[in-house]
Amino acid sequence: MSILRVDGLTRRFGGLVANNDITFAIPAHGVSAVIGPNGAGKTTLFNMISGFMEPTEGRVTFDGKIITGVRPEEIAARGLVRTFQLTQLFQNLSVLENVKVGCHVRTRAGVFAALTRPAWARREEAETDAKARALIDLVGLSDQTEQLAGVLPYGQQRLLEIARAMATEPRLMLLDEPAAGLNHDETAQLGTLIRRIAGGGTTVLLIEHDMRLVMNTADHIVVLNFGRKIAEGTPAQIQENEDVVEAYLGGAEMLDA
Amino acid sequence: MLDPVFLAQTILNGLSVGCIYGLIGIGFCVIYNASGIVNFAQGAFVMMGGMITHVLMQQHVPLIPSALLAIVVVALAGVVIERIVVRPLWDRKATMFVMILATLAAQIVIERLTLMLVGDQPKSIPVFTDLPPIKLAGVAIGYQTLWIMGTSLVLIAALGLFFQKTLVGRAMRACAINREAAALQGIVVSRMLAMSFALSAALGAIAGILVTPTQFTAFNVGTPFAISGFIAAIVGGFGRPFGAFLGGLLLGLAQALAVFGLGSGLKNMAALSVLLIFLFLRPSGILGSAK
Amino acid sequence: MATSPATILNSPKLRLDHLPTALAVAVVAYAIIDGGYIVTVVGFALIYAVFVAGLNIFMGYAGQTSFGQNAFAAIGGYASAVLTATYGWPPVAGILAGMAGSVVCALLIGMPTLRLKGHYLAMGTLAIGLIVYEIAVEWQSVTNGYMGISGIPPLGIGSWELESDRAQLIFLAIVTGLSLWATWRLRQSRFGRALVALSGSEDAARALGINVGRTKLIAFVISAIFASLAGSLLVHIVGFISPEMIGMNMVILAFTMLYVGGIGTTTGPLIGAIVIGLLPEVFRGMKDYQDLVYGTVLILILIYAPGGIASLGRVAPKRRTAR
Repeated sequence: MSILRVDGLTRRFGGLVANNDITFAIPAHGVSAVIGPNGAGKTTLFNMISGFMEPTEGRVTFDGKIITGVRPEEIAARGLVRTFQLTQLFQNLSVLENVKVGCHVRTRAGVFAALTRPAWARREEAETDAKARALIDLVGLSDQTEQLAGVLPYGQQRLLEIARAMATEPRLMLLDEPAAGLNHDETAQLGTLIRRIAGGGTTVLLIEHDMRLVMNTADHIVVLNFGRKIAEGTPAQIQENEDVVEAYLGGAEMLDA
Repeated sequence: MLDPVFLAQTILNGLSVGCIYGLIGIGFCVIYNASGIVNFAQGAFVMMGGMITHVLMQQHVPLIPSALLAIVVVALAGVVIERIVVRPLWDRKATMFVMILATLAAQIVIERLTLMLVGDQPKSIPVFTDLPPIKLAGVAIGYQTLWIMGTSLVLIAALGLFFQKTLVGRAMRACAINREAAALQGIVVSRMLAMSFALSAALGAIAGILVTPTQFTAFNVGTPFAISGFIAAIVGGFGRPFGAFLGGLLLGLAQALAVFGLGSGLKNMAALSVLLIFLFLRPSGILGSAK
Repeated sequence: MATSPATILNSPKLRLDHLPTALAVAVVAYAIIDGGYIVTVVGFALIYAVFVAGLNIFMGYAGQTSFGQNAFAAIGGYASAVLTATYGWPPVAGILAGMAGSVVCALLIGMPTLRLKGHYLAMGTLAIGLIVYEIAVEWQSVTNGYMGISGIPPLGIGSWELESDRAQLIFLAIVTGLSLWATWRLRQSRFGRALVALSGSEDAARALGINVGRTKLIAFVISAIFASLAGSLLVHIVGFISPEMIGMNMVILAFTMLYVGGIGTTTGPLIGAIVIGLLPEVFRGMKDYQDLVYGTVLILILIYAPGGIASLGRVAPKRRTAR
């Protein structure tokens, strides 16, 4: 039972082919990962899956429905949410408010409710508050709840992004290089967090460089190189795949594993 | 109903004022290319060109030295604005909007200072060549029109050479294409910024001096000219100086035809409508965007 | 809860910066009690506070740009003027009609214009403001051009009119208070969070399911409603309207107030309006140089205190936003 299917996905930028005829399936539940050397086309892939970029060719199917060409906010409403390689926090909102924005898509109070505050809206706000605080606890940011997001240290910013994404109650969460810039301890904690999230029923799909994180947390791996898929399988299968080893030959990434 | 001579006259006048808009538009592009800022004080430079020339001539300085001195003074004013308004904001990483707003405020300050110094009566400078217009097939071609068009063409050619052949010009182009790479190549970006303001101010001043004999100048003519120059730059594709000139001609033409067809009250509306049409439908302008 | 002073100062709750707000309210109270000339000055400032509060929602919270909100003040003002002076409508009906007109125009204008970004958005909105000004000047049959419309009745309901300056000031204070209360309510809500999210990252907002285009448009329309109300109030208090009242002067004045008071704060509009409104009174003889002073003040504030009075002490993240 796959939650995400990508068929023949291709993206051309003029003469450059960033993604070339990529096909794979991500199983529902658990953690999957897309790996590959720099420039392999991973972020372009994510952009196409999440609706931020239109593929030149190919199809994306989420939860049985085709989502190619659907706008990002609509895709998020359907349960597919993503984070960004360079953290895109809401700088002028507190940590708590950042996560509450994640609750936006599952709530409905509008301008009139904001001014008149009927009982249902107040209930909704209370639920949003409780949910947001629970997620902040989950990622370990409880003592930063009222802090402005812009002043958080980098590692905590990444955690906040994940908490915020979780607030949308996603079926599938795309994390774009969540470990980038984290030290070993933070990466290990991240791995634990990711497995906890997956354990809670949300499928997680990572883009990552960090081999240790990937091999420790992922059940299913897709390998890209020069815009093409070169392998797909379990961590054990990937580690033994000759094409993968060759793609990473000499690269520091493989030596990290 | 359609008098061909009157139409031709209108078109000629439109092209003439279009040259002025074009020069102002080029000024916008020069600063934008060097810094990414839209300098809303551009109109003040235009006003100052004509105004300073007038003031000097009142002191019995002949036309040509007055004009040249005015250009120099205005170029310096450009550098001053860059130093005391733009640079501090730049260093403090202000947002685009804040910088636009600050240059707009600078324009207001300059306008009001001018009002305080010279009063609110419209001023003028004499036409450069005091001869009756040339008559060509019934159309009157004033000598000032010839001056405007001729000077514009010379300036365009000179700018072309400047940007292509001189070290400074190419440095400015480099800044426009990639500021960081330019800095890494040893180009002093801050100096380029000051130079772009000086150049832009000079262009504005020249435009002001050329156009003042045909219409009066006053402390508040800056804003309409700035808007027209900006429209010219947008129509031409923001960032392309020569596109801006083309845009200016087009704007002048559109305005003249609008006045011809619909009456002079709608002159500004015509210009603003052109702006909106381009913003909504083709923001990259006629020639497409430079980058 | 052990929190550092930095955290407390950074807390969004403290955006209601207390001392400047208290002082501003004190000035208004003093004006009401005193009942003399200062009533006119403070009244004018309060009307502008409403206008700036609307601007604050669109530019402060949502981080957008509009150089043309005076267009909606013009629509509200002229609607009120024409409907009450020429057609004898009751003032409240005129105000509501003006707001309705502004909403419609804001929707029509907003949809194409808000797709623009950066300086294109700035210029597009500026063009809107200038076009409305031109219409006010040229559509002589309705607006009377530069001469303007006079004989606009004072505010009131039915046969009961707000005749005295003091009564009008009290009314304005209530309206301004309600406006600021409304902006505060909006900010604290789901909608308010979405607005501020827009100013942080439109992409991230989209990725979380927020319809960015629609949210921007709603903020624009709300801002237009505030502007329209301010325009209507202005013409009833002054008894007169002309294009100059709703032209570029209004834009510069409003921005100065917005930035001096503190953009993005709840009471910033009030603080800025009172400070700037009182400036000509404090510096006698400044009248002739008003715009000069405003322009200079604005430049200085933008450079040295872009957070304005209401946010002194708040640590602002220093990064260059690409807008």
